[in-house]
Amino acid sequence: MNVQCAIPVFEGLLDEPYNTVLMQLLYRAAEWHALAKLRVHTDATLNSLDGCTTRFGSLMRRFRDVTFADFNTVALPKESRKSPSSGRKKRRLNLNTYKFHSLGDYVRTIKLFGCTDSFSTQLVSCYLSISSIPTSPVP
Amino acid sequence: MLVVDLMHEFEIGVWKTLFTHVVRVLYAASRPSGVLVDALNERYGGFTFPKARLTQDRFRQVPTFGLDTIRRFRDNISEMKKLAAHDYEDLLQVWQTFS
Repeated sequence: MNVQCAIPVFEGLLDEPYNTVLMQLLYRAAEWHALAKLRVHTDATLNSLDGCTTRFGSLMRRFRDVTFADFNTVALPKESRKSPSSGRKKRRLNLNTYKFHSLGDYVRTIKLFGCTDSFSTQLVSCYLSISSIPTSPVP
Repeated sequence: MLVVDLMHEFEIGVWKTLFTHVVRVLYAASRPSGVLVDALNERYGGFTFPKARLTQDRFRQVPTFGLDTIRRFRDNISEMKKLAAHDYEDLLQVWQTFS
């Protein structure tokens, strides 16, 4: 049986109850991603995506609160290289972003415009990497 | 409401942020040795990409080129160096075979 999911990679690394919180969150993240990326939708799959969005959102907020309360999560070496002052500062999982907020718009957008594969910028990125192969300059 | 963009909003947005924060938590939980981050790197290193799996046998002799490169996770995935959107997607969708 083939499974595509990050859960086994993270399983058991953290102690309980954090492990369970993370496992549930990763499950919902993978489920949300798979549902949002479906190339054919029905009312049933859109309802699943709607419910999954709610559960994923509340698990993300729970993970943010739990990790902020119980772990001293400071910037990674890579992040503190960019701005040395952030190295010692405690970092919280930032959910006050447009990207996170927009997850609630997926069901409505799919109903209006169709499945996400038809207007994702992933397609444009593919074309860009093809066109980045050196060619003779346009006169 | 703006039209959604799965790749920028989820794969290199929310999921990347979440992955980064999990690595921060692993560092915090195993400071100063960082054994949990090493364990994560080791586990990711043991997996292959779906694409690598499909092309491994047939194209093993062919050097990587163009779009259809044979890709593998690097040894230190927690550093997240030079990762593209499809790499983050693959971090979420690690390919594992259960017998």
